[in-house]
Amino acid sequence: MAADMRLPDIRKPVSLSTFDRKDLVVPGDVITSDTGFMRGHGTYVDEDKLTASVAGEVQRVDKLICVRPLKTRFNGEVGDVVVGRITEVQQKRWKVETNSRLDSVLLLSSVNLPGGELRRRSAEDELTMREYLQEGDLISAEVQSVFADGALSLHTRSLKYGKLGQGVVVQLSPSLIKRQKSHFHNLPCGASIILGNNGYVWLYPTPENQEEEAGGFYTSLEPVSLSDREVISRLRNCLLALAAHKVLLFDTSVLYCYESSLQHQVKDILKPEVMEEIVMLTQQKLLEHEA
Amino acid sequence: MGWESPPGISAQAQPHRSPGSCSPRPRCSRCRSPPPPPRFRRASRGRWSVWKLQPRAELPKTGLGSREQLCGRRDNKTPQSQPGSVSLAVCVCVCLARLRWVRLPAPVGRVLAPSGTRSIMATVRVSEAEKVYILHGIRDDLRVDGRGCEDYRHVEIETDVVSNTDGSAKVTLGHTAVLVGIKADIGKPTPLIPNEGYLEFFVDCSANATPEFEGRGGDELGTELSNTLYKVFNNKHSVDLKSLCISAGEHCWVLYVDVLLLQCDGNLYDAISIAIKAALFNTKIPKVHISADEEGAKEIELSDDPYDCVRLNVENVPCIVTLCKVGHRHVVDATLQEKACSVASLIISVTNKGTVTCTRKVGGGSLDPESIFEMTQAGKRVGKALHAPLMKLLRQEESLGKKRQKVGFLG
Repeated sequence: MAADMRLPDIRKPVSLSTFDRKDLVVPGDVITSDTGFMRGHGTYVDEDKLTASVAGEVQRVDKLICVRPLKTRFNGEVGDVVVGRITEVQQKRWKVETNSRLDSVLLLSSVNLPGGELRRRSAEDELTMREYLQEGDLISAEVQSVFADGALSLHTRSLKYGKLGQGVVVQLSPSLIKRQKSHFHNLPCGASIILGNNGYVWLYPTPENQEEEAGGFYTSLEPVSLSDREVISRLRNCLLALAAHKVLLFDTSVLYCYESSLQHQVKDILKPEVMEEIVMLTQQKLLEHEA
Repeated sequence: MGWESPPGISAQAQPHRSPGSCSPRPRCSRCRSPPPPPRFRRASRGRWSVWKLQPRAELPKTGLGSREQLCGRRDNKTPQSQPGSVSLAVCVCVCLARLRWVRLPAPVGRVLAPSGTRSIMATVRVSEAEKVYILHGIRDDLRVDGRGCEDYRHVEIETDVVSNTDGSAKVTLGHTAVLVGIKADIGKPTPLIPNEGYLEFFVDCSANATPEFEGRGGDELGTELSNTLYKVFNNKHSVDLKSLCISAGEHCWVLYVDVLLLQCDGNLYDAISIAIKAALFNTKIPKVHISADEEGAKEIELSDDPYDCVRLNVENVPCIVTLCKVGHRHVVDATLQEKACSVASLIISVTNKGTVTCTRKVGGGSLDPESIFEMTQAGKRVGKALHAPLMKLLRQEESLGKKRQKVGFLG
């Protein structure tokens, strides 16, 4: 019950061995003085020298040089799985907040109607939009296309997407989420996870009957059991620990982190020294796994 | 169960529509009294929703509370014999109506206080299912981050961060960061109390904390916080004000306490009070020497030695504990998501001996008098337990002296 109070620690300087990479730049670094290159995103020309304007790694494709930033808003591509929150209900569309520069759009024609009918959306459907998705609701969706201004158009045309029920959302940086074949995982520890490409991770208790995927039309408000709740809290703290130490997030790294944290209490995981210990163990296990 | 409306409310409180009259506001079908005129609603404050309700014997088991708890009456036949009972009925109806308004789909998490001012603490949106999850978790004493209902998040304190103040402290409570600077200035004491100095508080909600504080957005919250701080410190024992007097009636030390909110992640009052206590501990007031001039005018000399100073005794400075009512339980140190699920909070400032110096209720919802009592007891217990580790840490930091590595703002 006593509050854990302490003096702040100075961030340790990063060991120089990891900084031998020449392709990491900070804003103001000169990339090249050669004028034959075309400048891409994240660069600008300053006195005939190509200079970086963001902090990230340099990517070169033939004559095009661009800098991919390490920490940025979500730039969606077609096929990305996102977890978003509805901000507005407009005529025939919902506006979804997905940690990108513009709010994404979920058109009424891109969602599955209850009952699975394939029919033209009528005026009545428009008026009952709020019954399905309100402001504040969370959804999982896939990026269907990208508008000219960069806004994403989402769709939930599969039963595995749709409105999300009880669970916890963790907001992290999009660059930490590894691109994988599937972003929906049922972890063996007893919870399920959706690693959205936009940095929003959704943790929820594994539903008992897996075959019946409701598509988000039915939200169960039954109380979640205490053991499931503990697993979800532990996973949430592990995700925050991994994000604080900039470890790439995918199902294996999350699982290793969970296993390394079992010796500590759930609320202790967020203490700095415990976080460091857990992340070190996770990184060791990941290196062994790759080898 | 959970957030579905309790059976009483949805069944009976339908808007009354008689043919020919279209009443724009719902009437409480229970007491059949008309809705209050708008000027009453705008002028009313949060206080009436608390002490005008009748005490309940047992707490209901589901949702926001049964209609009896909200309405304050047992049955229709309770005789209206007390004076001012009509105003009670009116207050109760507004309370009921206001609580129903809180559950509209429009921005969830922004609680409308009855006086018409909105308590704008950085709001997050939470969906209904997430709220149910949080509610059940708190009921089972396991919050989303694994804490119990009376556990604080990780706190980091550092003093002496701003060099041109007489005392300063920076406190990080989870993701909430607060910076306090104290400057001591010589001023004239108030005519009513000529032999004491005084403290002046100013809270600045910086736009860095959240975009809602941009421009004048943070002024309302800042004045609310400052007023609460004045109330908390408005007693003889918190700070020894007599030691701040230089010469009675003419000169005294005025401590200007400036609070800057750097990051906002819930629980501002607690973080600010811990930071003020740490900054007061760190404050070094120069020693003054009064000498009489040839003409008899008094001259004040400050000693040149920067180490020749007076320290304040902060043993009795209170710490504020915020208890948020979520469902039927209260939580200490609520995050923004938990705050979005609660409708009322109790702010209580406690000294290390367990004395309460100030209590305040914030939020638009109502609190049952029994739960206020429970929350006060819990607040006293939690508040008392905050002081010992804080003083120990401050003394430890002081004893490190020059060896301490200053982290500052770049850590």
